[in-house]
Amino acid sequence: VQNPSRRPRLEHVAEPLVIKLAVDGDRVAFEELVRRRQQGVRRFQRQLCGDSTLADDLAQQVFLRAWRSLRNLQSIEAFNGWMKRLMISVWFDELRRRRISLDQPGHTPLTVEPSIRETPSLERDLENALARLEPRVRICVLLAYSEGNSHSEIAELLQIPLGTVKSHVTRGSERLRALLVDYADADRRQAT
Amino acid sequence: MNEQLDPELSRLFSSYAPEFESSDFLAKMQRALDRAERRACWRIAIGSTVIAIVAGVAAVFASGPLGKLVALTDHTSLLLESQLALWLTPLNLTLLTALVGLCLHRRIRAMLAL
Repeated sequence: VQNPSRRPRLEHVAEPLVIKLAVDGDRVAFEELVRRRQQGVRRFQRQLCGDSTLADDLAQQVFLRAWRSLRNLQSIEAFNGWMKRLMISVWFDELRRRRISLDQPGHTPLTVEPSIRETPSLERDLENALARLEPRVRICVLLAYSEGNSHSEIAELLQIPLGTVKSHVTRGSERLRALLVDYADADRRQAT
Repeated sequence: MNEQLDPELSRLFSSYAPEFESSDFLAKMQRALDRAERRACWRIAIGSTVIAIVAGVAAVFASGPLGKLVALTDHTSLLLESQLALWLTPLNLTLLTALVGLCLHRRIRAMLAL
């Protein structure tokens, strides 16, 4: 930390101001942004790749790219969408690096951690179910369900037609429901 | 939020809450940022040195026969050349440009958005 004495003060500062300081090149402000955003970025990457170690590496790349190009941010209000685009482009780059096509049928997570193989949980089952979807379908489903983006926002983020997004989300939801049928049943039983 | 979303899947996604260890990630992130800054600094320094070498080579040529020919055409140029020759030796130019590059690497990075 370049100036540790400023950290406690920034913890209580409103986010737009922290973003503004980071855009102006304030490293401490950027570290504060990382602290605030890291859980969301890591969760998104983990749902995409199904591996916490790889997800952390990808999240680190997202923040490094953000630090390098934050000065180009047009407006503070655009920060959330801009971060999301970075998260998506880092994931696409990783797929390209691994020569995985966006339409390649999914099967298992990119790597499966031995430590979590034995412990069943909603997190692991959801990650495994997501890994069975094609990357393009998976990212549409995640943006809709996990990030709460509307279909038109997803179409804009991924630069694909709205109809394609709708069909990916519908198809992905059906397949996820089929794969997670036990959880859906338990959910229904709990509701009645 | 989309109205077309499956409510059961929405509930499953909202229950998805893996535990993330923050301090280790933040420490790694800080080290990665330090490395990135150092790399950017080196890139600027190397870039400046390359420019300085080119400037140095240009200065050598300028102070050679061609430079003298140009300078001798006018007395002012001759005076200027003798004054500059003291300061703008290739080595000085190299050091000066590298130093400016190092001092201004943050601003240069901002301009180039590195």
